[in-house]
This record gives sequence, structure tokens and C-alpha cells, in this order.
Amino acid sequence: MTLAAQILGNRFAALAHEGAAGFAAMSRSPLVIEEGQYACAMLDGEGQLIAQDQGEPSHLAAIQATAEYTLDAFAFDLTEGDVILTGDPYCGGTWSGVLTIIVPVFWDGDLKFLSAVRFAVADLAGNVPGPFQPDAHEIWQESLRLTPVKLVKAGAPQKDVRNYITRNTRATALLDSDLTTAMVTATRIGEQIIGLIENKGLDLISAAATQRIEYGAARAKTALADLASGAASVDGATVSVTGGEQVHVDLSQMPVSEEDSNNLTLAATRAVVLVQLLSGVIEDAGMSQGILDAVKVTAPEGSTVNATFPAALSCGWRVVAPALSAALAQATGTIAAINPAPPMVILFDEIGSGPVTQPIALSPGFSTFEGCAGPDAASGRRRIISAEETEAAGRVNLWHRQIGNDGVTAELTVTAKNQEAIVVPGGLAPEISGATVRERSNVLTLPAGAKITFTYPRGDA
Amino acid sequence: MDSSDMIRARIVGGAFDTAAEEMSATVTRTARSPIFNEAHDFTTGIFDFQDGKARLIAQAPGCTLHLYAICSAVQAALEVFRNDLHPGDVILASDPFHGGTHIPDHVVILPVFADRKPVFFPVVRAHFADSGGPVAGGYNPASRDIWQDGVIVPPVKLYEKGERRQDVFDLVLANNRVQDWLVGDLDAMHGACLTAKKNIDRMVDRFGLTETRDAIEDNISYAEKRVRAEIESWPDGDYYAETFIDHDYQGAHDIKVACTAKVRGSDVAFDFTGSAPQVDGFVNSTLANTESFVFVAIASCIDEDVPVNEGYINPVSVIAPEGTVVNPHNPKPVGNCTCICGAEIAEVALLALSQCAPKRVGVNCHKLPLAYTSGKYEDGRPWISLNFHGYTGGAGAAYGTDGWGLYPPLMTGVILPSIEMNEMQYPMRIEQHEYVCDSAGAGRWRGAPGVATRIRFLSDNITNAMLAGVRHPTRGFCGADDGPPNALTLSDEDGSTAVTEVVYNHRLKAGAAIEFLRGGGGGWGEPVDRPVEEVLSDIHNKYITAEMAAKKYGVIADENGHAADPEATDQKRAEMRKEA
Repeated sequence: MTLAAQILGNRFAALAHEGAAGFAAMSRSPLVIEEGQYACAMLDGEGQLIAQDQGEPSHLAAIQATAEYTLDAFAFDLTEGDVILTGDPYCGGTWSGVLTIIVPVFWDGDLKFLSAVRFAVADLAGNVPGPFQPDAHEIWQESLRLTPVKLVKAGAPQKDVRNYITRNTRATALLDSDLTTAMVTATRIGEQIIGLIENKGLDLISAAATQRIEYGAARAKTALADLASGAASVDGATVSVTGGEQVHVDLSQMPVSEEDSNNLTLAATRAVVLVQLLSGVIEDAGMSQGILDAVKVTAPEGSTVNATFPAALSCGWRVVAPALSAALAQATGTIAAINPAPPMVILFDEIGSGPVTQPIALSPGFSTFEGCAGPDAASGRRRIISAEETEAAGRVNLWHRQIGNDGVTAELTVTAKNQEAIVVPGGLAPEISGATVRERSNVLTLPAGAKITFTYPRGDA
Repeated sequence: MDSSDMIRARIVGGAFDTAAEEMSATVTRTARSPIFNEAHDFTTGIFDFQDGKARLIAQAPGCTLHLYAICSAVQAALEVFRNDLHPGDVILASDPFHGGTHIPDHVVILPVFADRKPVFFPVVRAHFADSGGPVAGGYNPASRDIWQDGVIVPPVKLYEKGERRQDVFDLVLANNRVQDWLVGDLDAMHGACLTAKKNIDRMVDRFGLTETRDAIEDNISYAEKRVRAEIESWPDGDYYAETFIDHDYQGAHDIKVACTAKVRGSDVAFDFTGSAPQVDGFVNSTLANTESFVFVAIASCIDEDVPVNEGYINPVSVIAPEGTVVNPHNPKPVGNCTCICGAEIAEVALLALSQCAPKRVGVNCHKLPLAYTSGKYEDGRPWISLNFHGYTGGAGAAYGTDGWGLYPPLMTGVILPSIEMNEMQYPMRIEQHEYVCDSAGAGRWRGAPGVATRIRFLSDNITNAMLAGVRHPTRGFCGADDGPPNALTLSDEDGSTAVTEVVYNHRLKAGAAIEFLRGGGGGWGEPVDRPVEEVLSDIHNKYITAEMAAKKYGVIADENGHAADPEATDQKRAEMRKEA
């Protein structure tokens, strides 16, 4: 790689990082701020990933897959000034309620690059407030489906489309604000790409992009060269990893997708594989198409690791991803990168009690590991919220949070009236006192004073 | 208005009516969903827009509950786009809290330009087979907010300057489980509007815009005069009535719907003050739905030759306090409002009017034993059946006529789909569909008999069932009996389960069946005033038994209805009148 390409390659990575950091700083969604569910990327005009920065790893493959889908959807119908929104797991995504804003970058009238911001929203309709729909068995129950749609067309805001989207959320202001933030961020990244081209010339920028992708491929190849082949079992199915020129992860025996929401899309499964096998390279060299392509994943359509439309998906990352990661770790003789999900409760005002509901994700701790100071790699930039922040919304009090030899425990008390909640599958279910289950649903009614106890057992090193 | 004006008005009015009817025929012939092409759960109309108000010019006979709702939906959509309309635009909308009723009922609007301005607006309003959301089919009995009802569609352009916005079109399709149907249905709605546009263009070419508008004004004025003349014949006064919704599927029972019909000269206001506060379940009625069902009640009191246009509506006003079950706040769920509490709104309006215009009220029926089913064909495509056959029957009587049998909810104008078509379209067999003896509300004119329907499914499916009209069955008028209650039973290899209030996302295996018992209609007038020969005819036709004839009508007859005992009948009727 030439020196100029190295410098520009790092500049691309910096653009992605700047976009991600800027978006996270401005976002209002608790899932972005607290859970790190955001990413920013630069891609070429063919949808090849040049650089990406993400708050947590579920996005690793999704931006590129979404960009590719979006390019196909609009084919020759993209123009300067367009801003495209895609938020559907079956359009290259992972699960419902995670949106991707894409801005095409033109030079001399030709599409040359894309900038993209991906983020989770607080609510996008669906059966219960928030992103998790444990009772769902089909995608329509989980949220509004957002197939690729132009939010801005040749510079003209498509107000009716935006109204359509913001009308289908219980947290209108949060979504509206985050849409604006994402559009501004992606547009800003696009402008910076144009600035780079103006400054360095298209040929050099394109060459640097290619070299960054090739560099990622080379680094991945090196990292995978010594990977042991092997097999392991997950949910009774054999998962095999074959080393060699191109590593092959064979998930062809995985069971058919569940009649619940514990399923992964192919993009989510690829993210599990990447974080398990290549997290070191991604951390060091940064994400790119070269790394994405380094591992071949075979996942049969209709299985829990490649669910087919219209299967529900919202709890797959918390339930299936840790099991798959553990199996891959066992097959390759490594340590699981994705540990069992932290216990989580989504708390919200009584459904129907007001035009705005801001669901909050309660998970006030993390699992500790021998020799580790913080949570596992898969937690990414997930933050442990301070007691003050936790209590700021005026809905719960954090009474107790303690690290002990057996792990972390935390205890919350509901202080607000008319609160309801769901327990999100995956991880150790929290203990909840005083709750009653509403008929015909999995929604809990929590009286003021209800106690929620979270336990984060100490993990294996 | 001189005679030439009147003739011109009728010619233009007739032309607009014909254009609306041609729209209706276009939808019927070209739509894909059985809900459109078989059940006719849609209506078509043409509007203009003057002084910021969308005005109904003409409407084709169709599903009555859409008649008024279409007006508020068009008004809300045009308010959004009034300064952003171009030839070739097509607007789609369904937002319950912005002019809509329940989410499945969508409007498609096409502006027609004359003199470079958008002047006329052909509109189709129709019930989509699905509208995304937690439950297939658009009725979610577990719903507690509007987002659990389904995907809301605020006004959005499907076409812009004649060009389809493919991304928006795809977005709408993606949020629907029966996309194959929806593509055809949207095209049918669009096609119907384009058909109307051709006719309107021709009309404007022929008469000129000014003359056409003048004729429209005359038509509206004529309809208003006719409706005002009817209202004027009713004595001034306040007429109060109340009725109750059985439950809201979320634990609330006996939810009051109160109405005072305030007749003042040629105006009538329906004041729903005193109605229950909004409830958690999905039986709340948006303001547009409340107005629509008041209109349904009014329509049954007005001569049917009166043109249905803005003039029809002008003398009638509705007062519905905010935060009540008849005008809830966003985001209360409203998914079932076109059945419950629409039925109660129309019923209570008719009960109020029965005190001042008894001979004009009747045909009360809309409390349904609602159950719908979804599944997948062998090739994996989804199907959704609203099981229309189970809702048929139960029409109430009116002055001068017994309740008509076997039509589905008569007030809505929905047409009974053919059993053969249903069995071709869905993996089901309709094993039973027949009158039930002794199930009609007795009266001088009796209600239609109830109907028993058994639908057996040939494949696994998911069924949601919502019972209504049990604690508070369809009311009779002017001394007549109420209709008997509805009933629903799910039966499978494990036995039969009677539905008490609601069944949510219940998995039925192939071979299982839903058994509907649609209660009969309420009667009109005192049963003892029913002529003996008509009671005998009812016995002979097995609508009632001889025992029922004696008990309800005081007619003592043989079991086949061949003859009555005149003396015993006179004596019995005299006793009954005395007791009354």
C-alpha cells in the first residue's frame, strides 16, 4: 500500500469514526446513547464497504448489505441530493427498528461513493413499545417495515414520507430528531468525501479505497491462516469451521426458523461470525469489504441463522447470537466473543395512556470476567448508566448495584405510576416482585414500588 | 332556480352520480381482494374543494358506513396537500385521528384539474384485507393503542405528476401481509379515479366549468331542501336515548353510549354528552366514525331518492365530547369502531329519533359475532378471511317491513360473497348457513331471523374472535322486542369452546370449525299488533314455532301454521295487552 493510500485509508476510517461519534453525541435515542446501537460507514458506488465504525458489532455486515440492497432497489434512479432511508431486516438489515440512512455521493454526474449512518430507534410501532417483541412470530408484529424510500429527493424533502414514518412511532420526537441527525451526519460525511476528491483527485481516492479493502483482506487472511478447523454443536446442530485460503463457516445444519422472534438474518449471522473470528483485525485495521469477504458463511434459507421473510427477528441477537458464538468458539478452540445477553427489561408507560411513550431499556450492570475490567467485546460501546441518569427519567430508583465474587447484582424500584414492562428474552431473567401479567400478552403491569433485581453472573474467562 | 336550471342540475348531477357508479363498477371488476370484488366493502364518491372545505358532490351506492367517513378523510388529506397538487397526483391515506375511522379503511384521491386548478376529486374508500400491525386482518382484540391496531397511513402521494413513486408504493406494500391483493386493489382504486377523471373532463368540456359548478350548487341545495323538509316534519324537542357496548375486550363492561337528538326546525344535532369516557380496548370511535354512523342512522330516515351529497349532511351536526368513547384522544385504539361502537352509535341515534319520527327508524343491526382467520396457502402465500358469512342476518325491522334476511350487516351495504367463491379462494368449507327458528325479535314487524353458520377449515390457521351483542343485543323499536344475542363457538378435535368475549390469536388445526350464531334483528311495534296471518306465515316458514307465536304474538295456532284459533287468539292478545 502506498503511503498516500495509507494516509487516505486512515482518513476514510476517521470519517466513519467522526460520523459515528458525532451521531452518537447528538442522538436522542436511549438505544444509541446507552446501548451503542449505531454505526457509520463509507462505501464505494458499487456498495463495497471502505470504512466503518460501529458502537456494537451487530452492524458489522448490515450496512454493506443494506447499501447493496438499496442500490439494487433504486438502480438508475439515484441523483444528487437524494437521501435514502432503509429500515427492514429483509433489506439487508438485522432486526426491526434499526434504520440506515444512505447518501449517494456523485462526482462529475456519476455515483462514486455512499455515506451511511445506521441506528436503532426507541420505537417503531409494533406490538409493544421498544424494539423487542418476544411474542412476535412474523415481521409485521415487530414494527413498521421500512423498505428503501427516499426521504429527500434531489434536494427536496419528501414531507409526506417523513410524516408516514414519524406517525408510526410512539416516540415521535426521538425518531424525528434522530432522522435529522442521521441525515445531517451522512450528508456531512458525503461532503467531506467530495472535499477529499476535490483535494486529492478521484483517481487517488478510488485507488486508496481499493487498497484499503485489499489491506483488510490481507490482514484477515493472515489472521485466519492459523485458525483451527473444527466442529461444535449448537441447539443440536453441528457447526463446522474449515480453515484454508478462505475460511468457510458451515451452518447448513441449523434448525428451521422458530415460531418466535429468536432468529437472525444473514447479515446478523455474518456479524456473529466476524466478531468471533476477526474481532482483533477489525479493531486494529478497521472494518472494510476485505474483511467482510474473508469468511464464507453457508446458512440455509429459512433457518434460525438465515431467517426468511416474514419470520420475526427482534430477539435473535440476544438469544441465537451468543449460542452461535459459543459454538464457533468451541469449533475453533477460541473464547466466545459474544456472551449471554445481559438481563434486560423494557419499561414504558401504560400502553395507550398517552400519545408519546418513551420506552427505556433497563439493564444496570454487566457480566464480569476473570482478568477483564469491563464487559465483553460484543457489548461494544454499551455504557453502564449512572444511578443519577437511571433515575433522571423519574420512573425508577436504583437502590443497589454491587460487584461481588459471583458477579454483579442491581436492584431497581419502580417509582412512577402506570408503568408496564416486558422482560426481554436472552440472558438471566431478572426477578420482578409485585408484577402481574396482562391477559393475552406478555406485558407486565408494574405498580409503583415494584422491585426489579438484575443478576449478572460472573462469566468464564 | 328556473326549470332550465333544474334540468341542467339534474343532468349534471346525474352525470356525476353515473361517474361515481362507474368508479364503483371499475373497482368491483378489477380489484383483487374478495373484500372488494365480492363483499363490496368500499364506496366511491366525487368531491370538490371550496373555501377550504372538501364537499361531497356525488356518491355511488356502496358500503354505507364509508359514506360520511369518506368526507372527513378527504378533508384531512386535502388539508395536507392543498398547495401541493399536480395533475396525475394520487393520494393514499388512512389515519384514524386525522379524518379516518379504523386503519383498514383507506382512501385514494385523485385531483382533477380544470382551468389549471384542482377542482374535482374522485375518491375511493375501501377496506384493505390487511394493514400490517400485530394481527393479520386489521382487527386486534388485544389492542390498547393505535399502533397495535395497525400501520397508520397519513396522507402520502402514491403517484406524483402521473408517475408512480415506486419507493412509496413498495413501502405501503411491505406493510401489508397480502401484497398480491393490495397491488391489484390499489390499481383498481387508481383506475376507478382515472375513469371518473375522463367522465369529469368530458362533462366540463360539454357544460363548461362555471355551469357545471352552478349545477352542483343547485344539486346540493336540492338535497339539503329535501333533508330539511324531512327533519322539519319532526316535532322540535330533545330526545334522549342510551345504549351500551357489551365490553371493550380489556375488562370494561356495559359502556354507555348516550345521545340526545336535538331537533330544531330543519336542523338536528346529535349530542353524545353523557357517553362513557374512552376505554382501553379497541371499541372507541373516532369523531369521523361517530359522524359516519350518525349519518347511517339519518340515511335510514330519509327518502332514498334524495341525492347523497353535501346538502344531505348540512342540516345534521354531531356533538361528541373529547375523551369519550365516541371521540377518543390519540392514541386510544379504534380498530373495531366500524362494528363496535359504530353499531351502538347508530342504534342510539335511531332510538332517540324513534321518539320523534317513529315511522322513519328501523333496520337496526350491526352488532356482529366477529371472527376472522388467517393462514397460508400450500405455496406459502398468506390468506386472510373476514368470514363474512358468519355476520349475515339479524337485520332489524322498520315501519312497514320485517327485517330482511341474509344480507350481512344491512346498514353497511356489504354484499354477501358467494359460498362457492369463498370455498375456491380460501381453504374452507361452509357447512351450514341457515335461518334459526325463534331467533327474530318480535314486533308488529319482526326482525330478520338469526342465522347459524359453520365454517370448517381445511388447513391450520390463526383465528381471532370478538363477540358483541350478547349482554346488549340489537334493540327493537316502539314496543318491539330486541333481537336475541349472538354466539360464537370454536370446535376442534378436543371439543367445542364457546367464546365468551374474545379469543386472541387462537391456533385452529385443519378440520376445526367456527360456528357463528348471528342473533336475529329487533322488531318494530307491539308484537300483538302483528296480523295473525303474518304470524301463521312465520310458523309455516319455520321462522317461529307455534309456542313462540303464542308466547310473543298471542296467536294460538297449529304447529304448521295452517290455521289459528280465532277465539283463543283474541283472548290471549287481550290478556297480553292488559299486562302491557
